[in-house]
Amino acid sequence: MKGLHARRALVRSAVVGAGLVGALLVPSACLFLPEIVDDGYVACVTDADCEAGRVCAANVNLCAPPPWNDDAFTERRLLVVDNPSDVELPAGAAVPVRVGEPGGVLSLDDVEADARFADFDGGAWRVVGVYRDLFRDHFDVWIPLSRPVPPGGRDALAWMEHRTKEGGVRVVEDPATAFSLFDDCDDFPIDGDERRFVDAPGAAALVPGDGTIDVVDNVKVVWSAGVPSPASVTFRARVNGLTCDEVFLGFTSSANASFSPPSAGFFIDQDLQATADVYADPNQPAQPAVAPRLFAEVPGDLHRFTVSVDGARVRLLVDDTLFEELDGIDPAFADTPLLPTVQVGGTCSVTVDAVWVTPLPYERPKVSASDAVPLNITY
Amino acid sequence: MRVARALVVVVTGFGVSSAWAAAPRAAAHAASRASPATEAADGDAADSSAVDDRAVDEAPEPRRAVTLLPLVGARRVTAKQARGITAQVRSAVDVLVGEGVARLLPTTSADDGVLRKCAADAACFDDVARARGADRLARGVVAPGDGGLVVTLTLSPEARVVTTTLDGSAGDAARLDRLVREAFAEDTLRGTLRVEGQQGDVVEVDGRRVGALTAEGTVDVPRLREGTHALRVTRPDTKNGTAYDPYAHDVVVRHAETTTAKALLLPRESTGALGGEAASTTTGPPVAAVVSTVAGGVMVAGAVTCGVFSLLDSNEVAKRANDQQLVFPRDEELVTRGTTLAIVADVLYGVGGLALAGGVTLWVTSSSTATEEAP
Repeated sequence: MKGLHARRALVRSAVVGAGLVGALLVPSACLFLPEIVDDGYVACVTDADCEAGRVCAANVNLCAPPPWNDDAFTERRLLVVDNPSDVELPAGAAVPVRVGEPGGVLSLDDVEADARFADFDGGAWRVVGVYRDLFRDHFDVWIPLSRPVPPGGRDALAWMEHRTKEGGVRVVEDPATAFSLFDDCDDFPIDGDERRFVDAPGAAALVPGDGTIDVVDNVKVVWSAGVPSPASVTFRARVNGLTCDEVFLGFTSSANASFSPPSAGFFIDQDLQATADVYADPNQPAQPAVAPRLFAEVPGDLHRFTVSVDGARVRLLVDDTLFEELDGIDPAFADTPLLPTVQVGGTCSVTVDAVWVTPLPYERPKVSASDAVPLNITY
Repeated sequence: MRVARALVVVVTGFGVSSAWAAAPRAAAHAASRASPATEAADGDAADSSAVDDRAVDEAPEPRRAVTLLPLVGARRVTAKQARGITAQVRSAVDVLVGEGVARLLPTTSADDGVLRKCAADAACFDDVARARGADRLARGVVAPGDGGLVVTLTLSPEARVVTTTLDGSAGDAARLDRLVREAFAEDTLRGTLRVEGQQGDVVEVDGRRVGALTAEGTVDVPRLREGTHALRVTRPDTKNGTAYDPYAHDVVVRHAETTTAKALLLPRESTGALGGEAASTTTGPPVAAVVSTVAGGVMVAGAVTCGVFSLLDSNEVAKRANDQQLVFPRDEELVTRGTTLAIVADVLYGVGGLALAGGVTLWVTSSSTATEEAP
């Protein structure tokens, strides 16, 4: 009888012990695992493990956005650039970000007047100088890349900060910084009239001084700081008059000889009939014959003439409207430096408001914006 | 002459004190009535196995042949008073005769002569006793003393002296009864021990089991010799396993009286708590089990606390992350603290859980072991 009691007691004790251990093992799996992965906070070892715009925080090894730059700005938004091309985007290459319609990355309501742009390099913040290309109902912000973006790569372009208590204009507009690839443009040799550039404030490829330059009959203006393919030049210019003769806006390869290949640009003739003038090589076969046509419905307005050269591909745009596109050029554009050039012949003139050059490839980088993040001072 | 003296004695006895004369008879009558009652009680006890027969005294009492010489008055006690007292003593001896423990040899005419002859030689009385075939011969003196008449009997051949004081009250009968029993049948000095307690308690007297307490919670142990006896009362373990310390005390039993002893048995835990000798045999939980259980409980409680704080930190981190406001190094302390608390909680859970489980297991195991070892 005693033995039976003892066995029951042992069984009871074993059950109690096992129950206690089991009950304690369940809550013992106490791990600090907040649900933050879906918000982009993933484990990392280096910054390379993190998404664009995030850095690998030391000690906690979590990908996290950078700390707030300046509490005066109560909202920020990350701009990310994707490089779909097969060439690397070098650091310093300015990338356009459209604000407003059509096709804007951000709407005009998304950007307050006190907006500015900054970059976090993993250790410190730096306010980035940009160039704003203003339109009537929208504007483009040209933001230089702080780091090179490899082919197919993705990186933070900049953090847009705005909504300050005091308001005002906070943006740092610095074309020289925005187009820093062409810092040496101060030394441009001017073909014809050097005075037009005397007051140039080192604004890279931008037209300085009073903001405009008139290129008249038999004048050729060449910006001698050339860039090899890929390259893109934009002339914000107005063609004055109808009786033009051999007006050229685009890339050439010689500051002295006219129409010396390789070259690519708009060729405007009588009655403002324009054609694409593209020669990658002196021995290049003749381009497909395309009938000359007006380059814009209202050619007398201020237009943006953009010429992009990328190896065997050339694209000509007028105000974001495709004018001509050539592919499979053989031989293709080589490494010969290309010089932005405006040449006028005939009884007309070209008023150049601004010129800028970037090494953007044929496949333009794509910019996207993340959701706005308001500052929460309670944290 | 012998008849006349006998008549004198009788008359003198009544003349001294009718109460004194009546008392031994009343005592004898009472004893004669008490004996059947005692036997009946013994019989009941035997029937119910409540009282062991061994409680009744060992060997049958000897039936002694005794003789009583006339008492002599001393100092201011007259011969008449002495004879009256002698008559009362003889009446008391008659009770013993009635009980069968003594046989009173008849008086002779030579008694007075014996007293005179042997007055100066105690050994003479021994010779007289032998000559008469008396196991004990008593001679005596009655003398005034503090509070009454002091009756002193000197026994031969033992040269033993017994005495009592008579004050003329109703208690003289008991005193004379006791006197003659001390003189001639000391084995008949017996009393009753009544033990009160809980039903089922086992009673031992002088190391002998005498029975168990009845449903009324009492048991009577009759016919115990007068004197000090070792009483021990034990209680079998109850169903719930509680053990009790035995009740062990010396009790004094007096002749013709009932001595009551109340046996209060205490649980061993209680005696342990009282600091008694039984402390070393307490069956409480082992100290190690208590320490382990308490320590484990404290650690588990600490683990719960750390876990809660870690959870709070985790929620805060998740909230900030959801708002994309979790940035570093500002929030590094928050994450580090939460992680540390979680680790501490885990450690405390593990160690505390094992300690708690071990303590409880040790506790339960020790209880079962104690149950098994219990008689």
